[in-house]
Amino acid sequence: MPPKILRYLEGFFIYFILLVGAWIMIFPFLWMVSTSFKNQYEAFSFPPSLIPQKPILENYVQALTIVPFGRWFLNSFIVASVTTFLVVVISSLAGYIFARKEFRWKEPLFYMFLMTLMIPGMVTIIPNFILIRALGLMDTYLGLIFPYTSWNLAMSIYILRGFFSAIPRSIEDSARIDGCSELGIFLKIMLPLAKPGIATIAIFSFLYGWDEFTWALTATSSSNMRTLAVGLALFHGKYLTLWTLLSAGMVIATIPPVIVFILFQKYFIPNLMAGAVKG
Amino acid sequence: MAKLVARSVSPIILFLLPALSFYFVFELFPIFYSLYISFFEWHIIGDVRFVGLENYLKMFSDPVFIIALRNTFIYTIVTVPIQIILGLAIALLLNQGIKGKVIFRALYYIPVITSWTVVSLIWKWIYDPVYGFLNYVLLSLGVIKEPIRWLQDPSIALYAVMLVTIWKGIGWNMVIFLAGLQTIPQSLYDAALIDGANRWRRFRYITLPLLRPVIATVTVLLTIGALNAFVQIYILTAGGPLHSTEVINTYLYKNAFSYLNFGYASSMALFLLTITLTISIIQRRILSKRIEY
Repeated sequence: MPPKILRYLEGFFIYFILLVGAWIMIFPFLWMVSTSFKNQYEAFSFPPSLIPQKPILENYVQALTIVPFGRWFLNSFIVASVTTFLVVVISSLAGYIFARKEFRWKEPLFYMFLMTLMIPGMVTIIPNFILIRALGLMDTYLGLIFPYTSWNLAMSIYILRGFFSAIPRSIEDSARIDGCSELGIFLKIMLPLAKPGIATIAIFSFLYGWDEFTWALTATSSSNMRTLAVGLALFHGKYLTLWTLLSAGMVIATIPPVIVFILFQKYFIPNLMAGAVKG
Repeated sequence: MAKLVARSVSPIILFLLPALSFYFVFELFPIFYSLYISFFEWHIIGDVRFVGLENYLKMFSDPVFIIALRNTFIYTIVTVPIQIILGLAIALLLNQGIKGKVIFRALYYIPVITSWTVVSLIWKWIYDPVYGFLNYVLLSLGVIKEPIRWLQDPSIALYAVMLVTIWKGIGWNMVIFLAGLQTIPQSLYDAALIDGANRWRRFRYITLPLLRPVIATVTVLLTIGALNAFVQIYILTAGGPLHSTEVINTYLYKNAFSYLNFGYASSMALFLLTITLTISIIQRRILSKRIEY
């Protein structure tokens, strides 16, 4: 066979595999969206169809009115947003210090933070349950926000330290000569220059707060305080066959992460492994 | 003098204080508290009784824990390599300079950004023995004669759960390997081409060795993730049927929050911690040895 045809065949083969793979990746989502527009009768008809014959919006209306999906959405949003805010403030302060200041025990302190990246989440769930209960924070937003914030600090400080270290010393020095205060240097010079890093950690903490399941399941008990991730799973446990309504809820739960991903795609990939690839 | 010290020290302490407080209260203290609890028979209400190492000894005579340990092992040893191989394969295909790379990358990444809750629930619907799409497709293609009870059959359930994990993880691996492939200089491949190295040899002697640090990192991260899998199993099967998908974490969680046996659950958590730390240290040693050309 002439090499040109061979190359053409090869290209065709690569596309074929990639397309099949992509179909496997997105089909479950199409199936979920499709189910969310079906009525209960059609969802259980045989053979199943990917395109609903008579698409209805009823499931979305019910999801936002009858079932407390709306409230859970709000809870997830509040918890994820406040967590993000706290993580950004706290870890940019700490990341800045670890990148730019010299002091005793700096390295051990930094590695102490990093160590927690290797500690399984389950280890801290039980003692935190006892702790949060003793603090009277069970079934409250703060009972979720405080632990979420702490569990995101190590990674965030690590990422931000990298960004702050990359800023040239001379910029800081000239500001200092101009009489800029310590806080001024941090707020007016360092923070703006580390924006991509801050965007990265903001995205990760928001998605974390939005998706987290285990702790939210443990630390909330009333239906009104559930987050979307937990609420949906418990709803399924209660009404096993209501796939149409549940699918509508799942679509609603998936929209914010997808929007975040589309808007901030460039932050997802390169920074995540920047440190790890080197090491 | 005192003023000078205060000026140089205070920003450091002030800036670090919030991070340190959160870290100590919700991270460091809990770990040691866990260790403390694990030596007690500790229910959330009622008496607390010191039992020494009893909780740790109990684990290894508890038949369900042994099953959970075995399942955790299978789960890890299957899902980690498959995710790496498939993720690397797709990254290599996408790296051939094909059109639509960005779109493919985004499509493969969608499962990664979707929460475990949603992913698990979608698959539960697809796995439904009567109305699920998977059985429908396999039946109509004639691959199977009878509907498979994916999550209800004890001999299949664990594999069905692993499939979901692999499906969700491929995109993440792909993205990391794509980033890793970008760091390999094109000149190496050009030189190899001149030497007449075929595609396999180029992969074997250039790509693979140079990706080694990335593979090492990914292996460690995936292994830690697999040992600590919880949400997908909790939602898909809750460890059932007949403990066939029980892993350490699901059993631990049941012991803590269903049986309120906090002491016993804590000893399992610390056992898991020990295994996690040991494996990540060993893997780092083995996988990140110096690259030799």
